[in-house]
Amino acid sequence: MMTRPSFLVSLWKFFSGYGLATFLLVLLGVETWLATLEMVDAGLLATLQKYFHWSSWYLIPYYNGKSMILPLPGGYWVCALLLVNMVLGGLIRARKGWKTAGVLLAHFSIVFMVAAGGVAQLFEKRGVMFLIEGEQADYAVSLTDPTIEVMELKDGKPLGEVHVAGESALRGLSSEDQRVIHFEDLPFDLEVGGWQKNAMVRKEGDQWTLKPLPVQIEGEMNAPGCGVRVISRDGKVGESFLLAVPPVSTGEEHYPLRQIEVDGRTFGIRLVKETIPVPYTVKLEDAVAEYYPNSMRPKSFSSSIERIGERAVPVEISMNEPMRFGGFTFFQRTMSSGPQTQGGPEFSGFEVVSNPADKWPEWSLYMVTLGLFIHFVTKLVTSIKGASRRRQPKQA
Amino acid sequence: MKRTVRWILFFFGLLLFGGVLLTAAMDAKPPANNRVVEGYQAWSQETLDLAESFPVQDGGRIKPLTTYAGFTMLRLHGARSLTVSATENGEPIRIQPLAWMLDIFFRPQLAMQEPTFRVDDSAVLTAIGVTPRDRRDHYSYQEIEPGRDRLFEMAQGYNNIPKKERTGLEQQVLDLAENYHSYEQLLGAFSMVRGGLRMMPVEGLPEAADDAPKVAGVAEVMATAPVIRQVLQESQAKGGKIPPHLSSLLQQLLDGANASNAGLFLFPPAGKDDEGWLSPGERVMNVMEMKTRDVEGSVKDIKAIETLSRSIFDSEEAFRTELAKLKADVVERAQERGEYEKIELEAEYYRKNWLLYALSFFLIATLLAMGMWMTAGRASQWLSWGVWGTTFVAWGMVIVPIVKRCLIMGRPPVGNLYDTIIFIAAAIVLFGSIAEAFMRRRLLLGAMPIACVLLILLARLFEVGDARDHMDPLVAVLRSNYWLTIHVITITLGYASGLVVAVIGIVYVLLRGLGLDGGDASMRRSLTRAAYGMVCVTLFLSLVGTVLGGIWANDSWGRFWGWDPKENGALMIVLANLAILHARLGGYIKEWGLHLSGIALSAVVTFSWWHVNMLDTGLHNYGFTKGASYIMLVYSVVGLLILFGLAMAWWDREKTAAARRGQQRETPELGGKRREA
Repeated sequence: MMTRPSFLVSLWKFFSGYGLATFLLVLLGVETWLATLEMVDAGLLATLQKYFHWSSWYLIPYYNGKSMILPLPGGYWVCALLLVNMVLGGLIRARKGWKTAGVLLAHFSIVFMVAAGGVAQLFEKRGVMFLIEGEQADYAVSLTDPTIEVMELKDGKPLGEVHVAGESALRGLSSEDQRVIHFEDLPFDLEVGGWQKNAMVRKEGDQWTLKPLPVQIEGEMNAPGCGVRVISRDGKVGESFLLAVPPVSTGEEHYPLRQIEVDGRTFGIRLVKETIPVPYTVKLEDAVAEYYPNSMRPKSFSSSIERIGERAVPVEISMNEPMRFGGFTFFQRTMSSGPQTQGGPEFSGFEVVSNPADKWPEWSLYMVTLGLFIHFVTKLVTSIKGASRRRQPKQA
Repeated sequence: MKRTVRWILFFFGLLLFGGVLLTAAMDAKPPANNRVVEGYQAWSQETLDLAESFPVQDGGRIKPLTTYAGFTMLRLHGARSLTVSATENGEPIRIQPLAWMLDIFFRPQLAMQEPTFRVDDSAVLTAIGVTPRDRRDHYSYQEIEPGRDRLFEMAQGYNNIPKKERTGLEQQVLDLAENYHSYEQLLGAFSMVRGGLRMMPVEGLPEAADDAPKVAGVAEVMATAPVIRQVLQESQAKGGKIPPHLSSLLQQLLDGANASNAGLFLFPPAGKDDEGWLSPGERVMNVMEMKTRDVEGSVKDIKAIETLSRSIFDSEEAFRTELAKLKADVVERAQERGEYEKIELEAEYYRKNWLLYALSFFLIATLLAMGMWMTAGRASQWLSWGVWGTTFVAWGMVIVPIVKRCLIMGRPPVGNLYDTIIFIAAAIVLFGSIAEAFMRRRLLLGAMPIACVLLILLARLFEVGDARDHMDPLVAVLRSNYWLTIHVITITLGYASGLVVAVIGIVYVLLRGLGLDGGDASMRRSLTRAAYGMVCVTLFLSLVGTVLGGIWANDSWGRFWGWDPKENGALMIVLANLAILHARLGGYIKEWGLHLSGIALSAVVTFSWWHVNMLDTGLHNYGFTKGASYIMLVYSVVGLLILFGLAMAWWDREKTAAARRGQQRETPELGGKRREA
């Protein structure tokens, strides 16, 4: 007589089974496809936020600006469940033996690769550093993440450390939201409201207003703005004012500090794209943009820099040849545009990335290649042997 | 009955195949444009042979004139030939790219009457005040000239509209304006040296007795550049005006140099480190503005093209003599710079047209395959050898151009979308042959040439539609032979094996769905094993290729994964293969399911390989949107095949279930009647 498996056994089989794996793989494929179509209109960052951010539990796809009605689970959670399924089914439940060594290794390396993605999403810092020949800097500026910086001022100069409300404190704010941001070491908090993803500050009559601008599909082109109220420790509402990141077109990194007085101390506040400090200084010596002759086709972009830490070291950074040092990687991102600028002052833009899992995908590639190779070759050999056995005449 | 069905299918297949060929041919063929160009005489083959490998610089590299002419004509005319006749009802004369370009350079009065410009929507001409003929037709430079100013004015306005927001008409106005401008640059390349410079009488000197205007050669004037500069300096020092005869001369020189500044980069520079070849206009202005030390060489070059462009008025033979002299000089200088080695090879590559030969052999293989499937026994065996033979000859004719392109470009075989098409055609034969070797059913053997015919036609259509030289050098970020070799080739092989899975699926669905396999379970298993094996190969190549792409992106752009459409497409192929394998292992799909999934995989490959390039977004964006209707056609065919397969699978299952029920009723233990053995 057959006994029905217990609930726990059923649950185990469900979460480690091929059925769930197949369903999640198909679902992830469909969501990737829908996201690809949607990013044409909505832009990359907004689409990623919608489809693959952990805060997106479910989503309703849009195509050509029209809702597709069908709600789908958020891609981040589909991936998470797939990971659980892969660990349970592909590593724990799977038969262990030399015949399955390849597939086990392949599953492990995919888990490792997904882990690399997770580490990158949690800990990666990404910004840009623009330098004109002869200039130097020891920080990069985030492309997308806004941050509120508060610093105490004395005689107009910063005193002590900068207090920061970063991307995590401001994430998900909309124009209707009010959010109090608590600063542990300051005698006041800030209430942020009227958040605009892209805006500019302008004067209407005697009043300064925040004019919303269309949200750009290239997220790095947006300049956020908001209204801020100072709330002292005793709960009293103090000064109100506007903060904004300068629009990209102005070329400014930030507006002048907004100054406030609290308990007889002066503080400066500003909204900027997050500053990412780099543990050494980079000086641009020479930026070379080469174009194919008599054309606008870029041939090579390279920058000669001096990395100044304990000692100055000359380094060459070019397309496909980044500089990896001190936990940061510098990639050649942009150059003075077009051959017509030759002769004028050259600038170079580096993408600066700090990602602890930078090389993990590469290691996982070696493992997955080896794993799949072993597995499929084993399968092939078994299949050929089976076929030759079938072809042999049976002995009486 | 089965035989009748086979014949019906054979004819339908033939009809369909013919239909595809005809559609492709019609699409590639321009409308009839046999216009009268009074007194037109075709160039002799000797002249064309001589001009074919004349080196010029274009698109950032040195290439033979034939390549430059071919792609320029494709862009402006939409085809590689046009026809004219010298008189009403005269014999049509076919003008091919090189002859067309020589006309523009040296016989502009004829060239301007040739129907060069392809206009797809006559509304463009109406908008610029030119009376159109058919909705889609070709027009000469002269026919469009009355609306020239209006055309450029409108184009200037439309240029400010973002590309995505332009209407079709606005885009066509822009395209026509760009083509017209390019043509004028070509017309201007030799215009200055052909006509010379008209000399005004010098003030204060008695005029010559005859009234004929004096004409000076450009080279002559260049040789007197120091004198001209001295006169200019003296008049400036005295605060006076530039003498009118000199002012007129300089203005003509400036206009002529501007006109011949960008159409043709003909002369290798004197400096070894200088990469940019020089146009006639640059040669002139560099001397006049004292920007070159190579004054003597510049004057000699201009003198040579002056003589050349005037010699055509004497005879074509005289022209050929001068052309040979100029070519010998330019080639010698190019050789000294190491820039001529691949020119002859490239000229030969285009002359031979290997892919056309390959197409012919694949077509023969297709017809033989049809015969092979229709017959049985020894005849089928013989025909199968014919299919193997012709397919391998055709395959060789695909491999030869791939190798030649690698040699010419100095890089691995796949660097752009055009490269992928011919590479995938070659890879399909390779994968298909391996799968056929395992199966030995002659099914994939016949399907391979059909797939390759379609791919080569696609390559030709794409070349015509895109009208860009696909051998031009790669942009900075792609210039890595290491990554091009290991990532791009792997991922492209993944596309090819994915398509082979789909081909096997289509064969299975048609055979079983239409009852052509005679219920041969062993054949079905054999197809299923081949499909399963190819899914494994596709997964391996796609997964490794995708991760390699990620590692390259990490080195180039600073991120492993950017959700770029091309990356997403590659990921979708990996996910689709993984889903198929897991569903198969879990027993959720069996034979029908595996093959139907395989057909669906072709839609995923099509999306990744082609469709994402048309989305006009992302770092891999190729910036073209033509051909979307073909993509939709592919999706529709895939959808229909899957629907057909699903219906047949359901019907098959019902039939089997009914048979099983019948069998059960007839089992004695269950009360049925005992049947005689």
